[in-house]
Amino acid sequence: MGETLLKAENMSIRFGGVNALQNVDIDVEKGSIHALIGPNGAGKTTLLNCISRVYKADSGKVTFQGKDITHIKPYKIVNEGIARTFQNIELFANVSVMDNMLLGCHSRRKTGFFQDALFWGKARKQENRFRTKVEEIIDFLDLQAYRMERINNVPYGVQKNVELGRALVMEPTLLLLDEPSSGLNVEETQDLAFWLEDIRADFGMTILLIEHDMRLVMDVCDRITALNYGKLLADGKPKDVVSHPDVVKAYLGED
Amino acid sequence: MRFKKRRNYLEDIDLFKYRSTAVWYGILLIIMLSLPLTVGTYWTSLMTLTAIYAIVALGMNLLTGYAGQISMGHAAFFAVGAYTSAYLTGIGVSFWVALPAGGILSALLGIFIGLPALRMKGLYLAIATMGFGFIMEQVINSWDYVTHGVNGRQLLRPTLGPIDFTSDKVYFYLVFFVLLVMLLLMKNILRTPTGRAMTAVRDSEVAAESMGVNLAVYKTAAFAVSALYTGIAGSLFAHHMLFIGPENFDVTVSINFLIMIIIGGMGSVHGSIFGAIFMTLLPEMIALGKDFLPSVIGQQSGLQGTVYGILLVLFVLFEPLGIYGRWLKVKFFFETFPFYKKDTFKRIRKYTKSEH
Repeated sequence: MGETLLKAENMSIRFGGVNALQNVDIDVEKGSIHALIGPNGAGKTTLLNCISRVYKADSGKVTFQGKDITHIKPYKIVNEGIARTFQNIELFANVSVMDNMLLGCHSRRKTGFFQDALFWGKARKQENRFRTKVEEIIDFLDLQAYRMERINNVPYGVQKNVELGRALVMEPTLLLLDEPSSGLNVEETQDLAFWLEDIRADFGMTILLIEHDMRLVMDVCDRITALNYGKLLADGKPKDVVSHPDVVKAYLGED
Repeated sequence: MRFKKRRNYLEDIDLFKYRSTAVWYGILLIIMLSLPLTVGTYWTSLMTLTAIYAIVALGMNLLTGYAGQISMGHAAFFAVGAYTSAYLTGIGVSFWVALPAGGILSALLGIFIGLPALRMKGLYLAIATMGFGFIMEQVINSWDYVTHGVNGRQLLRPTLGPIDFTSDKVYFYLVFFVLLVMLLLMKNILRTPTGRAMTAVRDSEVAAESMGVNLAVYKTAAFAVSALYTGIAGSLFAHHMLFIGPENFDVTVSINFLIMIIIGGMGSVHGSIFGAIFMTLLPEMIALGKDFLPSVIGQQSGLQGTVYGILLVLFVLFEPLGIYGRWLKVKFFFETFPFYKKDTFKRIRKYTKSEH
């Protein structure tokens, strides 16, 4: 077993009377593709949001690469090496695919406001560097045809890929994907399966994804964590988790 | 259709996409520079006013069109620029110091006003900034020492070495030059990480934050830059009008600034210029048209406001991207002739989300 990259312990959060998460633990190993599964309302996205600091957990501790990131500022999470996508696509709808992905470079910007306004020397070089990186990812995800399209004008499946691409541009160590295959057709899902493996192999990123498509999960994932009603159900190798009696019960009910 | 073979990635953000574009803008520049020599003082003065409003519109558009933060109090920044310039030149400071000073003071105030924007959105922000506008009106009325209250202040046109900007024509060149510089700076801001981060804040705060955009910094920066532009325009305005009083900076001025970018086109540099032209010419057109209307309508005191209101409603309903949206369609029609389809623009919706 490899070393632990991300460790979340005892995560709990309440929304009013709902215990969205109750003492959930999750360990993500470096270099793994880790799936988070569970029925609707199980708390999967909430857990992801707590890790990426979109929500503030009521209690619990998140350690990433040995560093405590539980109370870090939300906009600093990317500097630690965590990038994410969102369940209901959070792209910048009124700008082009290119500009959306360029935002992924934001955390690496070295120029100040005045250098930008003059756009000379350093700012120019930086812009060229950013654009080169983005074009690389555009190539990787086959988005060439949509480079200059506004997000409003591209199909849903492409938007999903743009969001994935934008996260890749951030050059993270850990990639958090919230239902990357939802709304994709069969071919697009197959592409995604290949990309997930390529992302790990080529970019060396670790992936934690929430996924409902069990075929995709069984194909590409090394480890599964199952949640239900905000509690940990099972955690382990894909085969063991899907045959775990509690998981079967959660999905199919009892007789 | 025109195609361009790109040889490096930066060509995507060149100021002029094709060589022909550069040529057309060159021609436009020459026309603009030669116009004051051919038309009368009156029209030159209108052109100066247009250029001043264009600077305001650029600033407004950065804040409202690009960063998505609405402001109904921009007349206050305009006033800060104008009165700073008036006061400083009044005590003998050179115009060339007073102009940037007006802008910078206005920007500092912009940072201060931007702070509540960190917690407010849409209508609430509109009301808060409007409140700020009212406060500034009171300050202008009461702070006699600097503003001379309701009596207003007299100003003089600047000189630079042998060049005397006193005449309207020469002053136009000064304002036009400042506009060109401001345009270039705005273009640069928009094509670099600063501008992108601002549009990101507009479209999705949660995503922007997860990319490492510090919302507080960029919202405040948007206010500051916007205020800087408006302040500089205010200073130029003061030296153009040669007299400023409280009536130049009341709430209708703020609303006019907002109408200017809505009608011109939210979130576009072209739109800012169109809006400024529109805003200066419309009152002239109304004044000219008055005589041709039946006196019941033509002599009504609220005619101008009514026309503004009707146009605003029509634009919001039918052309949310303003004059610039119309311009895009016409351009697209010729570029793709004869393949133009009406549906091409169907998905383009409004830029700003006032609430969500």
